[in-house]
Amino acid sequence: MINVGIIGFGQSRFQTKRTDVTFPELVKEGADLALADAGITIKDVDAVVYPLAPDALIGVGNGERWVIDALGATGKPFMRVNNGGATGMSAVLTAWTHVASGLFDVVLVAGADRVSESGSAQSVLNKMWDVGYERTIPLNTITMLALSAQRYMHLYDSDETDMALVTVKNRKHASLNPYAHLRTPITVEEVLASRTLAWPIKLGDACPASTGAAGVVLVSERYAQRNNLKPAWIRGIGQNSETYWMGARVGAKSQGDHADADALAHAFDIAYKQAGITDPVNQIDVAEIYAPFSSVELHVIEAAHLAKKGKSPEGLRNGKFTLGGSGPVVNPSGGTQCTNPIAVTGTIRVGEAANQVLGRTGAHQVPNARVAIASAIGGDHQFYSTMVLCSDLEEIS
Amino acid sequence: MIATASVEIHHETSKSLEEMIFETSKRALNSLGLSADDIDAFVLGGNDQIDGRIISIMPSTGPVGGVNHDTTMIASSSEHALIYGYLRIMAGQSKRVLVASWAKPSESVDPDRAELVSAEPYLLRSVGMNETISAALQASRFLNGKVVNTNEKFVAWPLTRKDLPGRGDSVHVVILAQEGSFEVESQFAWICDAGWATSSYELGARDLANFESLKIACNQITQRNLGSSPENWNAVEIGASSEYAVNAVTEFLQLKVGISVNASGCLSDQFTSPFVLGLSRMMRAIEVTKNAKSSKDRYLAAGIGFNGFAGQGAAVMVFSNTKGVHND
Repeated sequence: MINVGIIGFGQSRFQTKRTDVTFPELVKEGADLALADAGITIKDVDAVVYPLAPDALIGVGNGERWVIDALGATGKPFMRVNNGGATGMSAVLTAWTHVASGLFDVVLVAGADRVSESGSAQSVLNKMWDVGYERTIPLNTITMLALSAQRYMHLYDSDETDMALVTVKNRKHASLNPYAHLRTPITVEEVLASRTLAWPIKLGDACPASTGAAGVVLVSERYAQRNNLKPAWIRGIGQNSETYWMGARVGAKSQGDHADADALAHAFDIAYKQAGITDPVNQIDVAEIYAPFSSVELHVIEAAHLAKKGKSPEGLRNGKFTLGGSGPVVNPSGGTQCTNPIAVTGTIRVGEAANQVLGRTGAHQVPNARVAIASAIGGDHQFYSTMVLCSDLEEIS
Repeated sequence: MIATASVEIHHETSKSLEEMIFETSKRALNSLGLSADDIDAFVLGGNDQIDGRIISIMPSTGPVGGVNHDTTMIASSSEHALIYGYLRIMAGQSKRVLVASWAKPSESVDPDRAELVSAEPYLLRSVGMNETISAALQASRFLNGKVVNTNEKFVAWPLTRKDLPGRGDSVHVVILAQEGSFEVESQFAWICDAGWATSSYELGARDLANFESLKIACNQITQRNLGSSPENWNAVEIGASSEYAVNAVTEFLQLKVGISVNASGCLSDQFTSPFVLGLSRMMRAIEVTKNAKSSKDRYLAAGIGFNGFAGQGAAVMVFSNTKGVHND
């Protein structure tokens, strides 16, 4: 199989609203930043994969067609991926397939989102559920994950303080990341005192609605060798899907429990097998995982096998998963909880993980990081993408 | 290609889109005695606006059999979904891929309005742009001063109902497999190559008669695989925005004399939607190739699809009754 690496990653300094650019101009910003970081121009790019989740969030149907000129993709093979919140990473996996097919050497993934400008994002996202059954509950991404958080608390004797510890860690990390949206450190007390959105999720547990752009450039091994490049190598990839129906997530007939992320664990297992990872806690240095709410990070850490089921709160209390702590560091960038431009959130996870193994992230760099993982979640916790990255092509021991 | 299944109907009132997807996917799997567990990747092609689903992959993953599997939605066009399935096989990432794409405009209150939302909000939307109007603009470029003589009522000058693709509800499913992962001789067709490209979104920046993206897509195939270039095709199925465009594409490609063009029928005869029009023609090209399976001579059939207003993007896939690259 053809080895594929990442040679460029660019991202905006994320914020709530941008009035200085149109949407295509914002997409161009992500493409330009990624290409500049890779040291190439759009002329060097063989194909473009564009991530865009719900069109409704930007108010233009088939929004991919609108941005093609801004991306510089005219005259090139181009396709759009939409796997809900996982889109930004599913697009990178799709780009991986482009390169691994042998047809292309250089593929650009770049996109943008401006979630806060869509009126009520949660009203839009409520419409993703079935009109006859679950839409009327009313589900949205917050209430859906509040149900999961309640279930986690019930099964594993966890409480809201455990969730607050996740926020405190991520905000501390984000304060070191100049691109993150929410960069102000916060205390456990402040998180617990913040207003409730859908119990037990409070404002302090929630991601922001971010506006900005991001992109990555993928290359084949032959291109990297020809140009003396040292990419972050993609060593394993995985995807998996779960049932659409929230009512099928618990009970005797359910395939998994809504407290956990078993389908994500399977996606990690696929990527780990390809990469040769058998002992994640000791082999992985960094995890950039998609968790828009603090409660989600608890079970994603467990799905990545960085803690046993129900044990990630204990790890957090003991200072694990934190910059400067022992073992894998989780979301040194601050993660999705501090920056969530939906269409490219997964792209950022990959880009941050790539920069970590290349030692390029700056103040939030994990010392001597060699192996990193990235993940993304889409739909109603339904679509999962995973990736293992490494600074080299040697065996991961 | 080892299995296909399609349904095309003017207005499906008794089944939901999800039921149509389930039945068509099941039919394709059953034709080979396979189950969803025999498939290692599912590639879906849907359009949120036409489907009336905010994230179309969500309700459709279960009906295709994608739960507990790798599932990806390619949202730019149905042809891109098929091409991505092909890339997965080429990459050695999958042994069997099920590609499903659909459109059920009858569930939309007003498909024209859904298409209008695909126009950017600053200039094109206020013009009232949609697939039909952009097809009319393109068709008018092919008139070259000719007078349109017809007794038919114009839908959008110079196009009448007979010039335009029929509209209806449709689902198409294709199962692709890597050589060695299916029984010898059970293939429908071999994929020779695929080319795809896009051009500017700005209608004013394009000569709509130029087929720039189609030219690039065909060049990709010719450069990689000379034997699969247009002059070697025996048949072609073209899913263009109007019969004017079909004729223009035929001339543009300089196809050999006697080649079969849209032998499966004219555009207006088939119930489809712009999002799946290209794939529906590719399905017919696969069918033509399958019918030539027993021939000792190499038989090439191509499917052509377009996406975006007036053919902004184009995709070409070439199918053969014999395997291998032929650079002759």
